[in-house]
Amino acid sequence: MSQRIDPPVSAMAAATGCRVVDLDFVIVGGGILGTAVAAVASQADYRVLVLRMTDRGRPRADTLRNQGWLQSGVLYPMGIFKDEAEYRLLGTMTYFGGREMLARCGMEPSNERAVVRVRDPVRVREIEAKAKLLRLRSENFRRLDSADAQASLGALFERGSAYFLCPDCPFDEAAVLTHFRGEAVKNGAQFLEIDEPVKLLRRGDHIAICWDGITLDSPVTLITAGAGGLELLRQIECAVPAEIRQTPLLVHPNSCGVPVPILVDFERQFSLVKHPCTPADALVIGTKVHQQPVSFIAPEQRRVSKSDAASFRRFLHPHLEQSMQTGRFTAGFEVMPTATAGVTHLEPFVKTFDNVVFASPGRATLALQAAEKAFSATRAIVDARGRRRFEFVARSSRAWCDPIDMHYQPTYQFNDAEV
Amino acid sequence: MTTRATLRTIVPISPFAAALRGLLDRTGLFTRAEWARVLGISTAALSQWVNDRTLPRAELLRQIVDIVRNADGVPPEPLADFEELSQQPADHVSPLGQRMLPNVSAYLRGGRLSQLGSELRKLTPSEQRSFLEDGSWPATATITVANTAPTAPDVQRRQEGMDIALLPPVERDTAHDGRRERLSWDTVLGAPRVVIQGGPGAGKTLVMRTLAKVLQESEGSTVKMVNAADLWGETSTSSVAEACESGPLCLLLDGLDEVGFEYRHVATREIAEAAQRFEGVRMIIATRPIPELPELQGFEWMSLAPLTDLQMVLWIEHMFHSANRFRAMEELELFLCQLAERESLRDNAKSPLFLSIATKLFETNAVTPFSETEILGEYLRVLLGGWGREKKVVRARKPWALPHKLLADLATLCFHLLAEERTEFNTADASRWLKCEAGDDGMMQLLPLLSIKSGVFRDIGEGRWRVMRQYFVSYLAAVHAVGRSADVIRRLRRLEQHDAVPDVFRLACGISDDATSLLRYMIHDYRESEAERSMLLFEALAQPIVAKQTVFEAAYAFALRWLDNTCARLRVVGTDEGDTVDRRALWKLRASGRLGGEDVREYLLRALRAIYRARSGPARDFLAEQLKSRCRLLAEFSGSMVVEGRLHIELHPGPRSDALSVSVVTPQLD
Repeated sequence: MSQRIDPPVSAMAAATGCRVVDLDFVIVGGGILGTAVAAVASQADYRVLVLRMTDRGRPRADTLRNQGWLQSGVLYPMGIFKDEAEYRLLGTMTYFGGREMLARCGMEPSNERAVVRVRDPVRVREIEAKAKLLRLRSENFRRLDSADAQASLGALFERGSAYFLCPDCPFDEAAVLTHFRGEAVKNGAQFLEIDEPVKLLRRGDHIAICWDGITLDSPVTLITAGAGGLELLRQIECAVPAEIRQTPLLVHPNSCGVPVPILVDFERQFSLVKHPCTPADALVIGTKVHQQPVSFIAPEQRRVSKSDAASFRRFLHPHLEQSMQTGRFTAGFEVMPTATAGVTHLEPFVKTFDNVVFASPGRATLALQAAEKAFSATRAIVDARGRRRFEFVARSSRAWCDPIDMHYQPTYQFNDAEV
Repeated sequence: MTTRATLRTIVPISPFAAALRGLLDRTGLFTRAEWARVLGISTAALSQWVNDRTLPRAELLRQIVDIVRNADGVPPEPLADFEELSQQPADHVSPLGQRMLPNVSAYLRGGRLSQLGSELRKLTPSEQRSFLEDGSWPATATITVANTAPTAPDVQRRQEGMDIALLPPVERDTAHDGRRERLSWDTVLGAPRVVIQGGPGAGKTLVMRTLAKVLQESEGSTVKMVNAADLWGETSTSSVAEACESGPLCLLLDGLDEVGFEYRHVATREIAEAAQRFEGVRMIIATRPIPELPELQGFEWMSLAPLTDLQMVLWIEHMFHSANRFRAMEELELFLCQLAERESLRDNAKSPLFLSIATKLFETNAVTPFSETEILGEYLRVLLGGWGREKKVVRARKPWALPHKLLADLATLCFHLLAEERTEFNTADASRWLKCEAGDDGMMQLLPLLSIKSGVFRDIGEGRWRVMRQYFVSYLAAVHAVGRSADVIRRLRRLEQHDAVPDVFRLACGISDDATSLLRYMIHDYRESEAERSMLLFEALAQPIVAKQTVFEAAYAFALRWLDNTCARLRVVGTDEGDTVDRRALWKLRASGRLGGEDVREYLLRALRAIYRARSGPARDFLAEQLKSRCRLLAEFSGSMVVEGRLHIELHPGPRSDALSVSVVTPQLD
């Protein structure tokens, strides 16, 4: 087993054939944010080590357990915002931030459009008002006439409803993560894939990061472990004003004949996103079920209870109920800053505790913006220390170089449903 | 009502910054604070972008364009302007354009994550932080001028020439209608015979050195630059013919005005002869306006125009970068801020020499544009004495030509010009006003000397002279009035009917070692309305001033009483504390009863501006304290005085005749 060894380590490591990692700081968590920070920091000539849980068997990164949806904001409930101005601002921020993130990765946002079903006249007025607030152009937002809606939705069409075309579109978060990792590795960032969650301990002015019997004394640590980050903070007696919300998703291994890329049903309170997969497109379905705060549970231990699954079914369109038989659940978690945090769950959230920085991207589409903020906060600590690099001998840990897949890809067969 | 009283600023912005400002401010999408939040940067960073201080990173600029392009119901002009500009060469549209070459459109195609490393590694750690946290390219690393022009002290820069883009604009007189045609420097370089005229400090020598350098680079050793005073004078050992015989393709003859008066006719004749004899030699002559110029047949006459606003900023930036690269931005901001707020100064600061003096005073003595009279005094001292010594030019080797005597004569002359409300005079007038030690003959030498040295007036033929720089006349009249403190009030009374009296009074207060009597006179004796007297006091007090504390306070009390009474008729019916760095506060007001028409509005505006300008000086705390106990508008207005930065005051009528609003905003740089 390897451990932190006081200098001089390089010669010893070379003699034993181990890899010496020369570091400025350690990133715990290699989801979309941790990897983006690694990409940014390494390009600024900062040496980072990213510790991330393996995705073998099931993806641990919350990023990879998402619906994969670039949201325009028109579907955000107005109630979570302070006022219309904040709604307009954050809707614009997440959507155009996402488009820009894709552009920076050399990717084009999809031209596909989402369809939204609304029946309640109050909701119809509300969604039209929101589109107006967001200044959506008619080619991006318009009400479909009944015939068009029926043609678009087929069996999912329900009479007496209003249907709107929205600019929301699917996007492949795994591809973005792959791009970030590629840039980070190209510039010297190190990724270690580990099999169990790390534990953190305060040790003087360092943080001891422990896993697999290894201890890494880190002078400066950035925690980007999603919902797991709250648990890690608790271990070092820190806390951020945030809760965890479970967001169960149902993955169906084919499209069930759904013709649209995204369907959001405001009346039934479900949404589905269709992603291209081989051999068949996959559907990722979410509902309003179980959105209460929960305690942190490791991804492999999370379960969607039978009662929650039953509730989940009640939100679905009858045509999709069959998916409950053939689909499988992903129990995704989401970090939700509370009112005292000063930010919404859509925005980057960065907080510094002495030599530890906690960061959460908000919407994944703002990962790069969040990464630059998190890196700035972390480098401020590194620079204040005089930028003394420290060494770590990486022995018996493996580099993270597996292909990255979203949870709905056929690579995965796990099912978080309670048996 | 459509009037909108707004202080213009000297500080121009580039077409790029103007177009970016359009996208941010004229699309009606977001306030600056909201834009900042959308982009994840500070509002200060946005301000830097739209004032050409820094350049937005490509990805942030692209995001702004994406948002505007996809927004419904926005006016099309801002985006159309930006798109048109984005096809033009980037270094033509922004002083930081090198970073965006070849054009903005190409720049927007960059900003990939894969390019981040190569971008970051060129920057210092602090620049990296600015890049990542403010989303900005630091100006220090990108300004074309800073990269291409020498970073040596000013003297060396003058010797080596400047970037041609920083040269003052050149114009050609069009004989038929008196209008001037702006020319490119390429036109000047291509013309066979040119006379470039310019007043003192207009940048003639700098222009000649720069042209010499440019021609040298294109034509090799066949360019020759000669000081005219070396060819004509008691000690000259060469001639213009000899200079041409040595075989240059281009002869640059600098400072024809520096040739002694008695040699000028000879000089112009010999130049004209040489021009005929050496047809293949191109000639460029630089001179201040002198009466002998018409003798130069076959030459095209061109004049140096004042620096453009953008050039002024670049000049000042360049000098600051030379002086202290690390503090330059902060210092520059302060300097430009104060210069922008003092209209009288900024409108007359458009010559390289004036800017150079003002900047040096700031660098070496922390004299800011707040101390307008200090800068003017130094400028005139340099013109009348120091500069000649630096350039080793002796125009009149006489005891009466000592700089302080010339200043006194010039001041007396200007005072009498104002007192008699004249802009032209003849030699007899001057003799009457001045008691010239040198007698009538001396007067015949004194006036040309004062004219050529100061540029305040010029010879228009037949023994007549015309004022060219009215602003300096006011200052010099104030110098004369203050010259004998016992006479100051009596002298000012003589000017009471003149339009320029507010300027003279204000400048006299700034010049005087003790302005107590001036303030008393203005409070008690000045024969104008209470409003007008209050205005004069506000404006006089908005500068460094030495006076007895009791009188100083009485002066403010007098002026504030008028302001308070006026404001008492105004009710604050709404406030907008503002959500951007540019809009600090805004009060919507409603008049109870009749406010009093445009005059009152104008007075109110002038008073608020003057109060606001006073925040740069030691009276700020006193004034802020006084305002706090006044009506609500003034109490709230005092809060805005703590704001540092380039802020201006706007006052504009509301939709009803009894409504108006007051806001304190950053100047619109376009």
